[in-house]
Amino acid sequence: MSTSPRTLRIDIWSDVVCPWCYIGKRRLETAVSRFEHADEVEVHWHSFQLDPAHPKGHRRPVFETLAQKVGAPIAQVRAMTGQVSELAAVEGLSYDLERAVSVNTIDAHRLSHLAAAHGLGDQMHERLLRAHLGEGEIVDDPDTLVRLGAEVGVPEDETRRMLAGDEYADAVQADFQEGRRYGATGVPFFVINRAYGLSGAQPADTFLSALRTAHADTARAPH
Amino acid sequence: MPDPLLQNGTAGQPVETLPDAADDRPGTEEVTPPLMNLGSADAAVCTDGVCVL
Repeated sequence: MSTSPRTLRIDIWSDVVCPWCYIGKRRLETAVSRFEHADEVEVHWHSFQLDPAHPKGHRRPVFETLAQKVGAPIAQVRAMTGQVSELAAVEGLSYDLERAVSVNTIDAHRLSHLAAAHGLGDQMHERLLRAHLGEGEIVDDPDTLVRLGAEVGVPEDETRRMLAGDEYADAVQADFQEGRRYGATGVPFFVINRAYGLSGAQPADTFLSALRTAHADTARAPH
Repeated sequence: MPDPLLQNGTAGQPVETLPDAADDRPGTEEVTPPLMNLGSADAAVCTDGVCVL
C-alpha cells in the first residue's frame, strides 16, 4: 500500500494484555477525533510481546503473575492495578483485572496480523484488549480466538488454519525487532511518520500536539 | 545491529538521549533514524510484563 506524502502514518507497538496500551489507544483516538486533519491519519498496529518467554499453554491469574514479578503480596498488586482500572474508567474502559489470565500472546498477535490482512487490524486489536482486560477471556485459547476473530469479521476457517500452523509468527517477531530499533523497551509505543516518538499512554493533548507538529512538518515538506 | 535511538527535545533545540536507548559506539551503523520524542517521560508504560503508574 502506498502512502501519500500528506498522510500522517502512526505506527503503534502494543500487546493485547497491556492495560496502558488500551488506555493509550483511547487517548490517541480522542486526540485524532479533535485533530483538524483526522482524515489524513493512518494507523498501523505492531506486535510487541511483553513477556515472550511466558510458556505457551501456561495460564495463570494476572494478579499471581504480577505478584511474583514484583515480589509483592497480591493485596498490593490489587491496589496497584486498581489505580490503573480507575484511570481506564476515565477513558470509558471497563477493566476487570481480577478475572484476567496471563498467557503467551503470540497466537493473539498472529490473529491480529491475519485480521490486518483483511483490513481489520484496529478492530481486532481493540477486541483482544477488551477480551483480556475486561472480560476475563483466555486469549491463547484457539476456540476463543476463532470466536473473537469472527466477531470482527475474520473468517473462522482462516483463523483455525492459521492457528494450526505458524503463519505470521515471523511477522510478529519482525514487528518486535522493528520496535526495538526505534527504541521501544515497553508499550504502548507510538511513532508518527517514522520521525516522532511517544512512549507510554500519553495524555490526549500530548498526542494532539504531536499530530499537529508532524502535520506541520509534512505540510512544509516539498511534494 | 545498533541499539535504537530515541531522543528527547523539540525541533531546533538540543536533544538528550534517553537512558538505555543510545548507541554511539564507534563503528556501529545506524539503520533506523532517531526519533524526536514528543511525549512526556513520565507517561505510563508496561515493560517486561509489569505495568506501573
